[in-house]
Amino acid sequence: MTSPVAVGSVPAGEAFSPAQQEQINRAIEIAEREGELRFAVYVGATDGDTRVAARALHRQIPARSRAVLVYVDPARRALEIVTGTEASRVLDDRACTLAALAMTSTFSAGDLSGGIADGLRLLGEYAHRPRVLHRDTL
Amino acid sequence: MRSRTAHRALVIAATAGVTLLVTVTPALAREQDAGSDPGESLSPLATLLIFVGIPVGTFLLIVLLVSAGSIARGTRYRPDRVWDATAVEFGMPLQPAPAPELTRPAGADASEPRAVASGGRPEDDQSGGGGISARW
Repeated sequence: MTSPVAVGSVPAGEAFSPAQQEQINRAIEIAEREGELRFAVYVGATDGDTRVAARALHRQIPARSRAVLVYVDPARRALEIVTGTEASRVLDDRACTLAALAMTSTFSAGDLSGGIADGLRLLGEYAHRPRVLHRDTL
Repeated sequence: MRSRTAHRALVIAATAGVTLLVTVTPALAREQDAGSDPGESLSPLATLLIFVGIPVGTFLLIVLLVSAGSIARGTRYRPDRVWDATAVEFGMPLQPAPAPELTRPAGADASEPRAVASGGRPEDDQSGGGGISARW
């Protein structure tokens, strides 16, 4: 049982090299810049349903309503993006789906850290886009 | 295609053979020329070292230089390999919380091959928010 709760204190393991960890951390920093959303990334194996585990992990994030969790399970080839209540207003499911498509296509090519960094960049860009005040209804 | 390859191999073999035969003649001379100083002959060990050791060493050096980058990068994810690395998290100031209840069966939608918006699930509505699931 690899519960996501149990790994809270585990340091960055052998999954990524220091350069790759730096790449992901920088992507988080850039995505959070200017925006009011907070981004978190989890990469690890899940026992059970990945969606449930991802939501459980998201619930543990302080100020989770503005938090976005990118949950990657390379063993199951599963990607989950969980957005908090306020975050989902800025970052709707359509934006998350587009980011997820970009990420999964990079994952398929074997680039885990690059896919995560790309996805964070896209999510950050969606979060930064100006609000549409007037929308055509036709 | 095959005849072309055979032709190519034949030309290389013939060129190498003829070149060897032409250039080897001084070594086969019965007597030394006046003023020639052949020096001491190489010992078997020195011969091996020069003609085997140096090429093999160069080969190994090149292999090392080529693979040094990927060795330095460390574990690399490949979609067809088993993933058994330690879980990693980034940007997550986690606080210990009670273990989540994993009520749904494992791999309920594991065969889903594409990104699927799943904001409408009942359990998603409990805490608000949204998100999606995707597979690759």
